[in-house]
Amino acid sequence: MSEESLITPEIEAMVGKEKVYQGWEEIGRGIIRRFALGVGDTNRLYWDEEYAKKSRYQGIISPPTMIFELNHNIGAEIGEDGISIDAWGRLPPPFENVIRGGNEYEFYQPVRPGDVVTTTNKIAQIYERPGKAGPMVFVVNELTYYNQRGEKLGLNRETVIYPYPKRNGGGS
Amino acid sequence: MSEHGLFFKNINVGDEIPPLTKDITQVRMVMYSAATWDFARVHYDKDFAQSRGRPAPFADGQMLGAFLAEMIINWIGDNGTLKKMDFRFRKMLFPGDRITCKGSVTEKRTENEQKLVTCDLWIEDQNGEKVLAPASALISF
Repeated sequence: MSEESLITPEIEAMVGKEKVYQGWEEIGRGIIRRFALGVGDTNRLYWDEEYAKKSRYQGIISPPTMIFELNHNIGAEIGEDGISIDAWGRLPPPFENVIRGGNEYEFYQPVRPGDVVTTTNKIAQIYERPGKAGPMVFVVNELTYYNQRGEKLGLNRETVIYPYPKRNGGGS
Repeated sequence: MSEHGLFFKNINVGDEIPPLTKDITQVRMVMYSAATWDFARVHYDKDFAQSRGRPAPFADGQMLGAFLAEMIINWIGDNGTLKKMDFRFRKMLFPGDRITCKGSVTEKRTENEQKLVTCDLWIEDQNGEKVLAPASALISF
């Protein structure tokens, strides 16, 4: 391995770039209930209107982390790896595998049926660190979620890690 | 205020959050993929996952964030609000793994008339190994 940086000018140029994913349609009760079912969360606040009305939210809300997983606004065209070709902030080849580093969530207000959620995804930071199996590149994405009134719903600061692929392929 | 919730005055530093155990199954992983419209093949396609050097399809990490939020809300009930949460992943999870979310109260304070509680969180697998840590949550009352 040479001492050359893995962060090429092409990668460096990604920092600070932002992309907006405009919400297509309202969040429905169905998507909220199915997210709760997917997680296995049985809290009635997410599906039982009568129960939710009596709560301090006065109606159904979504589980807190649901908006951070709304991929429905991303284009429908799916790549060979199953990931939307519209997904943003991925490093160019030879980088291939992605490992999740971590997430920082901020919850500003509950998400309700009827909200139209628009997401901005800004590439906040890209840096290189040595790893056990070789050098790795860290990409920090800042995703901010807004409702139809332009109010912030939440923030998701997500760090993903790209191990530098080994020459014979296969990744880490 | 609901009678089904915890109150700020009843929370103490050192309190343990009732743990939440979940089985990681391929069905759960596919349900989560469908619910979130995330069709990354590494989460359900064994041949594809192996072609990318993984032993098997692995769970989407953000599902663990949902589990932590579920544990916290089961604990605080209707009175408290989850304001912030952060976590770092340590290990991938595969079908057959059984995880337990855990946490404890590390700080309690009042700031600008907001009553705030900070908790340390982590997730262990069936061998007691930490799969997610460190992690924390900020809750307001």
